[in-house]
Amino acid sequence: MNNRLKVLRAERNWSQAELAQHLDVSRQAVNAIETGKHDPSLPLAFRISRLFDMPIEEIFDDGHA
Amino acid sequence: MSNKTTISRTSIHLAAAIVGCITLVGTWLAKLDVIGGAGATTMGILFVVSAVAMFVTRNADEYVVALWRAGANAAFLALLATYIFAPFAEGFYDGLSGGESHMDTPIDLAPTLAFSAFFLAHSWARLRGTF
Repeated sequence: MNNRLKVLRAERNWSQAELAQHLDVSRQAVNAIETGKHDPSLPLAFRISRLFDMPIEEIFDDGHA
Repeated sequence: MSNKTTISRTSIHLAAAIVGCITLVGTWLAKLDVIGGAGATTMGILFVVSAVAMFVTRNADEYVVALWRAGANAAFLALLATYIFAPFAEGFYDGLSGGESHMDTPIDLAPTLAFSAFFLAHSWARLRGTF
């Protein structure tokens, strides 16, 4: 699944570790999500959505929009 | 659980997975008598330590859970294949060919095959994705 996590993180000048700290996951998890190797769970997707104050569908693209 | 702890447990799990892969290769080499003695013992001890470390940290965060699940699924499938499907296929073949003999399926390799399947799937999920 494609996502804009890396762009949104870069806009805030956050490192992967800083974003991981905000989301309470590991840096490796953030890296896996950014590179499309792991799809986040629904609770984590909601946490990401709330953190960036954006709807989930504006962050994640499942290719069916 | 604090983020610092989560990061640390994830790092431990991923590092242990690398050690596990390396020592599993060593275990296969020991089974093939390529290495032996102290080398094989060291590999075995390191393998057990890495396996325990991975088990203890398997719930570090959802990414690690996904990696663990991929490995566990593959290990379960390998056990099913070795303990059920392979003997069944052998018996079926022996019945058809009339060449009935003792069981030739190497059941004693099942644990090593299951561990190999686990680490292959775990590594594959880590490199290519947890889908």
